[in-house]
Amino acid sequence: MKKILIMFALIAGTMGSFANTTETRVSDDLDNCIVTVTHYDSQGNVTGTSVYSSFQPNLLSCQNFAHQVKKLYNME
Amino acid sequence: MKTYCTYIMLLFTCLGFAQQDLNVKYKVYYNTDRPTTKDALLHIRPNEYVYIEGVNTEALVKLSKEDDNFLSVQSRGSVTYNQIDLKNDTITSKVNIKGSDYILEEKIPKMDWTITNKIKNIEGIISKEAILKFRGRSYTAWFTEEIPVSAGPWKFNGLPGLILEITDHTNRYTWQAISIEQNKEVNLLLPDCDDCNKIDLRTFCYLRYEKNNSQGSVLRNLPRGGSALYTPGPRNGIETLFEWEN
Repeated sequence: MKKILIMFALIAGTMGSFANTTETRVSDDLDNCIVTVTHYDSQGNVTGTSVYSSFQPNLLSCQNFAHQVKKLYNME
Repeated sequence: MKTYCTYIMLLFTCLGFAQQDLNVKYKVYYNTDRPTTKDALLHIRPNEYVYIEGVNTEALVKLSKEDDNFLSVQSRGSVTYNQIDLKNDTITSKVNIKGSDYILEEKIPKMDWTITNKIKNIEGIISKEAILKFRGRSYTAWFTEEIPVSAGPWKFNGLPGLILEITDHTNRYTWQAISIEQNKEVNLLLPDCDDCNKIDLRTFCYLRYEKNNSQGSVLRNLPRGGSALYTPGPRNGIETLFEWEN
């Protein structure tokens, strides 16, 4: 399976609010689907990073997982 | 800056400061991971300084023509403020931490300024240099004794004149005054924060730098088999070190 499947760059919220970026990829051997969320404060500082992972059988299910995570952050 | 002289002339043709409110507009430059520029307003009145940041300044101050004594502040997005109450020796701040708004209450911190011999002319205003170390950052400020109010942007206070410019030594945070206006006494409406939790400085530090940022609702609703790992970011805010950590 390809190393990098898809990358999302999203900004949540309106002016001055909490913002996140996410990246999704699937590892070579384990089909481990990873979603990375970078958190920014309203001044543009990175405040932390959350990594969500789940074993998924294929690209489509990995994308679904990423969508679910983004949905939980109200990013979709 | 162009309007400085006009405003200063206006100031000194009017009666003293004591009965007059002063509005200072600042441009705020956050040279951060995601560089951000904001408009801000410092409203100075007897015994109180209110600094509001995060929305277009023109939208911030609405002096109605029908009633010049009414000043309203509209909250759009995440507007933050610092309200310095000189009478009660407190600062009340609306802060946004990881997407949530809080009301932070603390005593007015003592700022040990060192005033140097350097002088700079800022748009016709003689300004003096002052150096400050405060909560993990070092700052250079330019203040003017021509406007003898001990105020400045954010929480900065304690100099014998208004702060016109201040920058931290890493150039990550910069505030620059762009205009000064004098108004009659006005009612200042701060952004609503009725539902905000009140916190103290220690809680602020914990929430800002230590608490897991992965939102509870996200974790609870993760698909079956999913897991999450949170890594806090570096201490990169305006305040990076607190009194009890020295």
